Amino acid sequence: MVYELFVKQLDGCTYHAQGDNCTCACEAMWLFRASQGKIKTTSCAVRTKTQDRVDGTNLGQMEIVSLAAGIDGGRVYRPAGWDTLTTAIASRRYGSHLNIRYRKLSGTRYDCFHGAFKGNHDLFISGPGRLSGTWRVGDPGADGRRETTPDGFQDIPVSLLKACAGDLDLGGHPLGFGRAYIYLTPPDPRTTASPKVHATVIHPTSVWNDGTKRWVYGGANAIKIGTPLICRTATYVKGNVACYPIDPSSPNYPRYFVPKVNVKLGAAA
Amino acid sequence: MTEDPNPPVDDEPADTLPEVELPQNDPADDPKNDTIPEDAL
Repeated sequence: MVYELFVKQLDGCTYHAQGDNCTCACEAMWLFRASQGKIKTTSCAVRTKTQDRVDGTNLGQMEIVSLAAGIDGGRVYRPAGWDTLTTAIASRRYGSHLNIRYRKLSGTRYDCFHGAFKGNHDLFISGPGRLSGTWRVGDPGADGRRETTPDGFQDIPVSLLKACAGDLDLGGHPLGFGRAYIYLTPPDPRTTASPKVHATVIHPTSVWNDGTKRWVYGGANAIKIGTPLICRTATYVKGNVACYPIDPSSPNYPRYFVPKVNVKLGAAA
Repeated sequence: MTEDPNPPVDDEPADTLPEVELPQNDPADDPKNDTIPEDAL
C-alpha cells in the first residue's frame, strides 16, 4: 500500500508566516510516505525544526529535517533529468518533492492561489494519477478554503508539471525544460509476492501482454487445454479481465497474464 | 495470431535510480520557495 497524507501549508503556524511554508508542508507529506506512515507531522512543525524564520525554505533544508527524523534514504537531485522522476513515479514505490515555478499553473483548474501567485513553489508527487498522463499531486495550497480552491490531492497532467518544473526560477533564469529539482523518498518496501502455484489451462485461452497492452494467442492460436503454467495467485485486472500473472519461472508463457476463468490452480510451485 | 514480438514487461520495478545523471548544481543554488501573497490566501 502507498502511505499518503495530504498536509496543507496554511495551518495557523505562529512560528513563521504560513505563506512561506509550502516546502515544509510537502516535507510533512514526504516524511509520512518515507516512514511508511510512522511520522505524521505538520507544515508548522517542520518549519520549526528548520529554525529558519526568513522567507521560504529549500530542499537542502528538508534533507536536514529528514535526516534528523531518522530518514536517510532520500535523494536530492539538483537537478534530475525528467526521466528519473518519471521512472520513479511509474514504479509506484517513490514519492517526491517537486520544485516548480507556479506561473504556468496559475489560472488553470489546478490553481490553489486564484491567479495571485506566480513564484517558486513546491509540490509533493504521490504517484501516478487515475487518468493516464497525470500524476497524483499534493499542492499544499489545496485546502478548499474558498469555493474555487482545490481540496486535497489532485490529478495534474504530467506535461504541465514538466513545464512548471523546467520553469523553476534559479535567480533570474529558468532551470530549463526537461530538468527538475526533486527530493525522492526512499523506495517503498517491496510487498510480499503472492504464492506461486501450478496451474492448468482448462479452456482455450489468450493471454495478456502487459508490454504492448494487447491480448495475444487468439482464435486458432489459443493456448490449449492442459497446458501447464506457474501462476501467482494475486488478481490483476488486465484488458478489463481478472487475471493471474504467469510467473517468470513458468515453463510456458512467463510474464503474461492469463484470465482466471481459463485456468485451474493446483499445488504450490 | 503468433507470439507477440514485443516481450512483456516485468512488473517488478528497479530499486536503484541514477546516483548522478546530470552535473549537480551547487547546494547554494537551491532556491527557497517564494512567499504566497496575502490576497491569494
